[in-house]
Amino acid sequence: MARPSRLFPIYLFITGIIGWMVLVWLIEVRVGEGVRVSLAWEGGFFLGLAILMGLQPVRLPRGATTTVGFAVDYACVLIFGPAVAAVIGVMSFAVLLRRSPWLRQFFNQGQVILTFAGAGWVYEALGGRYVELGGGRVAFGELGVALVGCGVAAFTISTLLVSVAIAQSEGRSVVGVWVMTFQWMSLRFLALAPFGLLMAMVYQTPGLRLVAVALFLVPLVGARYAFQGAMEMLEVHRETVWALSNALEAYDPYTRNHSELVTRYALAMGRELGLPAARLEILEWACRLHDIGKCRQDWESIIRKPGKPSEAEWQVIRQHPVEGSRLVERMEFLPHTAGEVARIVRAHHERLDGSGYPDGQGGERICLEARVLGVADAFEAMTARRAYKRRRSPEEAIGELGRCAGSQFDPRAVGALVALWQRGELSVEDSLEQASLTPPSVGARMSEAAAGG
Amino acid sequence: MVKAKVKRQKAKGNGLGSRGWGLGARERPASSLVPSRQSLAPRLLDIYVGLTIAAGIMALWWSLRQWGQVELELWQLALFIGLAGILDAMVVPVAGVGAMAASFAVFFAGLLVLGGGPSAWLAALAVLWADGLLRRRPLARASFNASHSVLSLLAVGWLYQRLGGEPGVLVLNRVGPLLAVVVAAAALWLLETGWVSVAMALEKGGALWRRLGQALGPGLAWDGALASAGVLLALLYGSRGQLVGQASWPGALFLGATVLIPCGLLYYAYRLQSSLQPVYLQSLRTLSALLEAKVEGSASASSGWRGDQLGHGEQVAKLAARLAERLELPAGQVEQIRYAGYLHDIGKVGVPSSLLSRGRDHYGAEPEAVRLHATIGAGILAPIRFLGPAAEMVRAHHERWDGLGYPAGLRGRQIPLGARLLSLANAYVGMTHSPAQPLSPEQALARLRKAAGARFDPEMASLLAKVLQSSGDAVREEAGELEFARD
Repeated sequence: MARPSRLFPIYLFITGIIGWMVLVWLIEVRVGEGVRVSLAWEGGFFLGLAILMGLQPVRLPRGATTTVGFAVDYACVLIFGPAVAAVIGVMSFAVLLRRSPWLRQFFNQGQVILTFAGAGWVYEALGGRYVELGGGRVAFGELGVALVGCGVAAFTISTLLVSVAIAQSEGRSVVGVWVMTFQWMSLRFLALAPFGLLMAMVYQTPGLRLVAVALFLVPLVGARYAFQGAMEMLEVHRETVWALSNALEAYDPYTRNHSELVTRYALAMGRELGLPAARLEILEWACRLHDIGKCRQDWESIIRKPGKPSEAEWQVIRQHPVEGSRLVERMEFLPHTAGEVARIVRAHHERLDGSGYPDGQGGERICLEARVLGVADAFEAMTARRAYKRRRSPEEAIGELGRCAGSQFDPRAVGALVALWQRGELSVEDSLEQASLTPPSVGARMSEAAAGG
Repeated sequence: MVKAKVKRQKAKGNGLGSRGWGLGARERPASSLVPSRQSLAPRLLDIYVGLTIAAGIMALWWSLRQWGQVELELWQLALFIGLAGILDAMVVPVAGVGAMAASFAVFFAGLLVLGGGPSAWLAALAVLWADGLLRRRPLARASFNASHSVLSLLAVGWLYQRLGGEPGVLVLNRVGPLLAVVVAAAALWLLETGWVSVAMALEKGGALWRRLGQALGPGLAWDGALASAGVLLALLYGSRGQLVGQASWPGALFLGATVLIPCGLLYYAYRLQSSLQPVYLQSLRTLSALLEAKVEGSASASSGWRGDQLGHGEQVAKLAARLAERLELPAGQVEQIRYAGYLHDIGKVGVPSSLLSRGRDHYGAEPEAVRLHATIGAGILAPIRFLGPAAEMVRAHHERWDGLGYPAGLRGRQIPLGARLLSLANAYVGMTHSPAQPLSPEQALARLRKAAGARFDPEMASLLAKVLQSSGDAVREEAGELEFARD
């Protein structure tokens, strides 16, 4: 990972300064227009809402989290206009980000002000009026274009500002980061924007503004808790399967901890190769369960027997990826991914030149995840300390893998392993205690980096 | 809103199978020890369903005469029937009590806006449309669902007006009218739940109050959230002119979106949650089969069990869970007992296989190393947050009632109830499925009775005898439940 650019703190600072200047200007304009804002109740309600939603992020599958704050932000802009919405945003950040470094808080304040100001400017330019300023009315039939424009502007400005920050801090190209952030956030935006819009429209119910919003929120709160329950169930499921599959190999001195380490190596390689989070998750399942087909009572005796295995025994050995993939298919652990995991498990002993087993497939017909798993598996097998064989040093193992790259192993996967080793990011340990049971979740870094968005 | 939904069962269920209440071809359970009491219950059920449908039709007819004509424009009809129909197809299964549909929101809104009579008509049309056409349910079931909604709506509509509520005028900022709204929502919820609970109690047996209790709990959050959406719909309906202008179709669109989006999300989240339970069980099943392949040397892990041939862990799980259900333990505890059943021998992976195959010594005791498997198993499960209680049951599943068991030598009621059930189920399944000399169920029961008070909790041993006699088909029915939940 490249070091943060020197421009990074300067960029954060400047964004913050510009943001605050815009806020002061916005308020001045409103005061100049003679508009008095006396919305302590309503503003307080939405501030509370923004803080509550921020404090309780919704966990998504694959370890990522999201807040549903965007819906509240959008509703605030439509109801109160950008100035009050920005004040609410800044105040909610003061609570939500209170533990972040001050520069980061400052950047996020600037970012949220600029986002709201830009969204408001687009909305007004397209003929929109705010509910609490000048008695406007948010109606989709008449203001459709303005409402969509407002949302798109908010989304674009926010992702752009955050992407520049991420690009600076990680030394990557702005466009690349933006495209990634955009993809990742656009779904969230599409899902949340209707809520914001409806919230603003519901708010207009004569005589019952906040009551109506509260009624609107009840099913959403219910959905949130049910969703949370589902995510916890998924987590429990993952924990159970991993603990039990670990236990199945832990008491065998020949395989102890093997899958755990293979998983760690393969995930690092997958990240190095730029696999997206969803595919990393699939790879992780495949790694943890890749040798599950070896669960048979006679396995040890076949493997440990000195000399070459007989034809019948060889059949058993060649069959273990097939057995494993059948078992994995039956586990249907994550909706819709069991098939892919099974495919990887089945192919993890295939070789590029087609001399592997069980199918003897070669080249591009082996998926990338299976090739990564194959390399990690071989690397772990060579470097592990086992009673019955000499342990090779990581350098020796990498040399061996390099010799077989292109014929047996995928050169890209081997290249990723070599790069990791050269940067010292590959620790080769073999004690159960040192291997953490759950590696840091895949999406954490991403959501951490984009916490302001 | 609770909805009649009959469990789909595999070939030899209790005969009420997939065609809905009272309409399915009726097969006798093939292999039960005694004739089951279900020969009587379906007839009562048929009568109940028939009466409900007849009453529903008569009530609709009566309400038409009572209210006369109600003028509704096309867009209003489309809004209410369309919304109610879509939401009625959003069904979330609830273990043991059928399923809940999301149409409660629109029914309640219709009640507040239009009153009991018109909303009953709308509900009837919507349910028939959704159940009959969208979900392709048999006509009898769709009619039953429509009829109980009609009856409940008419009753609650009457109650709402008695309490001073006026259809079409929704006041929330005064205590009296607000109270009327809340009471009406609660009454509608209770009536609808009660109607279906009676049917479930008739179909599956068991006390009515217990079915009702099981149904009311999960329904509270679900129907409460939907009632809130319904009140919002009624509010927005009343002031749609100020909100979206007088044009009718944009109004319908807006109203539809404000209900469909939150309710759809609620449905999605509930559905997701309820779909994970069978996934979890399925994984435990696979892993316990793996364990058996590794430890006991079934031919191979993935070909060891197919379809109806159940592994030892699975059979123990099902029998123990059945005992726990018979004891009417809370659903969470039953699940933990089921999980513990699947995993009770997981600790055997930590015992060298040479020792496991050696069998008992001449004192009839297992080798010390084999005895460790209970502790090892508990140690494997303990770090899994969710399986804490199951871990304790696994630890104690070789304790004996007389205190001579292992690992801790607990006696009597010191042993967790789940562990006592497990040890019984384990012994029974072990005896009836021993590869060397399997015993018949009667022989096994006789042996268990002999050991009651020494090895086993005597009360639980006689419970096991009762359970086995009342339903010989226990295992199959359980398999059907998994199938149903994945529907």
